[in-house]
Amino acid sequence: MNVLNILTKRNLLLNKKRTIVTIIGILLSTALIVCVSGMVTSFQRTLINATIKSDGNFHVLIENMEEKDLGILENNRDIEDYYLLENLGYAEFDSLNTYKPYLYVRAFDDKSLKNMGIELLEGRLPENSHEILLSEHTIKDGGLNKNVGDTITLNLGKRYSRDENGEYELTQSNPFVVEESEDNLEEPESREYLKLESEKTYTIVGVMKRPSSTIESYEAPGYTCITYKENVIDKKSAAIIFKNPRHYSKKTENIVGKKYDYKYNSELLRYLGVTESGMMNALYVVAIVVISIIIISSIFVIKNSFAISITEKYKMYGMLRSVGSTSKQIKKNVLFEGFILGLIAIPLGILLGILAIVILIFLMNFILADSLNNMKFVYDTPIFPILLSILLASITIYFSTVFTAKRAAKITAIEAIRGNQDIKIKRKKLKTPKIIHKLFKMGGVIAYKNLKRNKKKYRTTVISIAISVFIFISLSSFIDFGFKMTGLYYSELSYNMAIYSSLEEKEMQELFEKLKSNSGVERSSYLRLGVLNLDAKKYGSDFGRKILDSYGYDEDNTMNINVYAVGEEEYKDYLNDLGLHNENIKNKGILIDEYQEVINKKTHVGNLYNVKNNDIITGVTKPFSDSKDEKEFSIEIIRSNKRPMGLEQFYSEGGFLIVSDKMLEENFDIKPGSIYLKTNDTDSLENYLENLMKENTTYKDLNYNNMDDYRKEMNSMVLIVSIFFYGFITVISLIGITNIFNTITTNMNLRSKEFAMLKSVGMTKKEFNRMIRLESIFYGTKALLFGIPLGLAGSLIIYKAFTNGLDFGYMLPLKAIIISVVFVAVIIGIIMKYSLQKINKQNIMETIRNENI
Amino acid sequence: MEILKVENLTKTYGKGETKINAVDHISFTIEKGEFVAIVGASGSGKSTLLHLLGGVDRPTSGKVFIDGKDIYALNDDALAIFRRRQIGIIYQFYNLIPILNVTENILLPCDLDGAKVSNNRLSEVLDILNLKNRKNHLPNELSGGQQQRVSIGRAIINNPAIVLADEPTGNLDSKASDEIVSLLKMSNKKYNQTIIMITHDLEIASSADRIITFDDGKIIKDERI
Repeated sequence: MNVLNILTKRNLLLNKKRTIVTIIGILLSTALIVCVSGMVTSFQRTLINATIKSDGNFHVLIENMEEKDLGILENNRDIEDYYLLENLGYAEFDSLNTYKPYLYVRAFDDKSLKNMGIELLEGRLPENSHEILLSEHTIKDGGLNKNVGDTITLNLGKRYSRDENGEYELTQSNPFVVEESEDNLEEPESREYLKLESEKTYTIVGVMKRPSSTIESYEAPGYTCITYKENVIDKKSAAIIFKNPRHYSKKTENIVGKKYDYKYNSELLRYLGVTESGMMNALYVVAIVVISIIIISSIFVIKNSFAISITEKYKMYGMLRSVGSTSKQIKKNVLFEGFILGLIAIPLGILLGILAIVILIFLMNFILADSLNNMKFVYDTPIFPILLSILLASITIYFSTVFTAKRAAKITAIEAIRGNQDIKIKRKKLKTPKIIHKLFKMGGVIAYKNLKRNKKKYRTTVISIAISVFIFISLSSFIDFGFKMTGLYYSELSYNMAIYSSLEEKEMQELFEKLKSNSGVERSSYLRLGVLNLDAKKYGSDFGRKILDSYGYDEDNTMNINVYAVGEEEYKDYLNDLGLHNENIKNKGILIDEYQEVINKKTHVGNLYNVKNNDIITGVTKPFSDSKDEKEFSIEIIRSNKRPMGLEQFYSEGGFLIVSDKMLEENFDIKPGSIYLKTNDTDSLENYLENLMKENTTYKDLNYNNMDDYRKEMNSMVLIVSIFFYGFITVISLIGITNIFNTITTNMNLRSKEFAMLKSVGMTKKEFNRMIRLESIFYGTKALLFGIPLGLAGSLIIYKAFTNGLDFGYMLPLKAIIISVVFVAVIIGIIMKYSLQKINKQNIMETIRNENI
Repeated sequence: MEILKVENLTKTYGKGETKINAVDHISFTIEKGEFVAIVGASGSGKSTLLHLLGGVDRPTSGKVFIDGKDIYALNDDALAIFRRRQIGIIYQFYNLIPILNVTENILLPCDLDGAKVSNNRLSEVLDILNLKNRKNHLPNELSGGQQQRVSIGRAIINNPAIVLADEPTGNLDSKASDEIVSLLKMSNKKYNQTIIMITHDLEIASSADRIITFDDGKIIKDERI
């Protein structure tokens, strides 16, 4: 190996710290690129796996192909594999759904049963052609009263219709036309009819989840039932997997021509990335943006490292030239340095990146275990991303070194020996404002001028700090706004279970009694509604009437106030919260009328009514059905902004009035509302509800929200997003820090002679330390002066993007700014302190005399 | 009056077998206003001696008194302050701060002290050094000789007790060397500035009033001219 390369290796070993720091910088960049792209591919793979499980492993389903055409599938070079499904026909049954009067029997073979996205809920899969699998939807929606173990006899046949060309067969893509009324304009002949072909008796062996919409579309007239294949000679449907799903529509056309109906397994195709779907594209765009940021940061770091390395070896290069090496040799030498560092750092970076992906996926599965419907994140070895990162990292290193190599090659012997290269600056630029001298004395002046010295080097460091600050502030805003939008900040509900239904009032009341007596329930409310109509001119405030106007309700100049009763115990608790006593309040009502409205992007808050505490309002009660009467009603009101449990998320431009249950029952037509519970054991309450819904048909249509689950899910999401966000910003900052470390320490090294001289002229240690500290303050301040405004700009842009439509005030990312300032100060301070320690250890004289520093 | 007194000064490097006395139990005195040259072969220890006199290197044993003050009894900070007020040092390689201009480099010791220098004094010094029309230039805009002149300016601006010059002409051509030496001589005569100069060039040494010959860490000759 030639002497130049040996020199390079020795130099790298000599400056171990700087070499290691540079390697760390390259390593982190590579790892980040691998991690980001690997997360995208893993995420994609996860979605694909989940979709295959729920929708089936095929790309397109072609229906009712004739036997003779099936041969095309065998020889088609685009097709990887296919499953044949037999369609045995339709059978009428007593369906509760007028649009789905049929059962549609298909026969699957073993392969299809495994790959068409069938999810067993009960029992097992059919194993012969006398066994059948029903879908849950048939039982729930169609009302088929059969269980596993029962037999069912079906009269199977095909559906036909007629047009001017004659009779033609109908398929699942032809919905059932329901006779609307007597004056149906359709000709009786164009309605469909069933031609029976066989009678079959099956044993029901299992119940499956409703099949995906590719297999049974929402308008399909028959509920899918699956039996085991029979090998009938008849038309068959084919579910096809292409070798490469790209251009799937063209490939499908080649098979089908215009002949057959077909349906794409669209969600799978979307996640495979072959549709023009927004989602995958959005994901790729985000990944590309993030990777670009990483690359830009990395280029700065790596370029800077190599520039520094050159500066240190300036004298050496000059001397080499004087001894006789050519420009080319020097250039190659620099590239060689890049090559060595890359060789070490890139593989390590790839390993680190893969490790990071594995850890992140594990974390996500762990944290989100209960939510996300059992979707498990899978790890996909990111072959393509790895190759991509190697390529990108190599290119980055190459470009960084090439420029510095050129500069090194240009060094002439005499320049290096004379040592004049360091200061290329003009007098004017070094002008220092008088105030620096006044405030900081000589130490400060020198510190200040140092920043102007060789601007390029310092610019890189300042920029890299500024970029980190910018990213941090922008992303902080992104997270803040995102969470605000999804209302995560507003999860301060007082209840954790909400039950909704369309039951009658009496049944709801019964249900309420049942639920409230569950152990664990601490507070319960049952909201019932009545409506009071008031004269807007008399009682409405200007604000309230403006709101009315904006909704166009100005015709009869009345305002409708929602009158609620909340259940006796809740009413008592509520009054307690307000500090009122039941006795005094019995015949009064609590008026809640604070309202928020966004007009012209500005938020206006005000009260809807102009009444004061203890005023009496008189209006007319409005019934919910025409058969009931209106009644005049007066009540004394007390104002409050507090709400009873359950009413927290409601908004009405008519306001709310809370009254006692007795008052509501005696005066108003009541509409039953929802039940809200606060319990310390949501799981057991949920179980109780589920049992109730199963056993009692009255309650089968209940809906409930378990807010605890919801909150848990949201918290998990917050945690995950925070991990990602903070992980990313930490790594980017680390990359920036390696850069700063290199710049500052080398810089210090190069000036050690100056420092020794200053000390010999008589600068005390304290003054010296102060000078260095000031320099780091000036440094950091400059970087922050760039980074913070940029960050604010980024944050504003994100705000604009979020508020297209919604409106909330812009929140200055103060917390992020403060954190950035502290962080920058600390980092620079630490690095400078470290350098100072080294310098102060040096003996003045040795430094000055030492030519070899 | 005695401006410098050296008592049994020793500086030892190395340990055991490699132990060497760069300065070996030296004692001498220098009066105010003297122009002293210290000569000797390379490696004789003369630079080490100069640095010990200047307070930039601590001796293994012995004392140095400048203007009555035992400088090595001072702590580092006090020594630094003392140095900027009472000692001017000129090196062979110019050691100017590259980002300060001529004026700023010259005023450096005063600025560090927070002391103000009268414009007259500054003007005078710039005149003597023939740097008046370069007073705002940066070191990289000056020739070698000019840079050395700036160093001299820095060394004498405070009227220190002693000025130490370590091979001040080592890097210069004969014309510049002559200039530097006459400047030193002039400041010695005009301001009664005590100057101790190290050189290996006997011709340069002959400009001084007194020559101390150094060899192997010891004074072997001390004669007045």
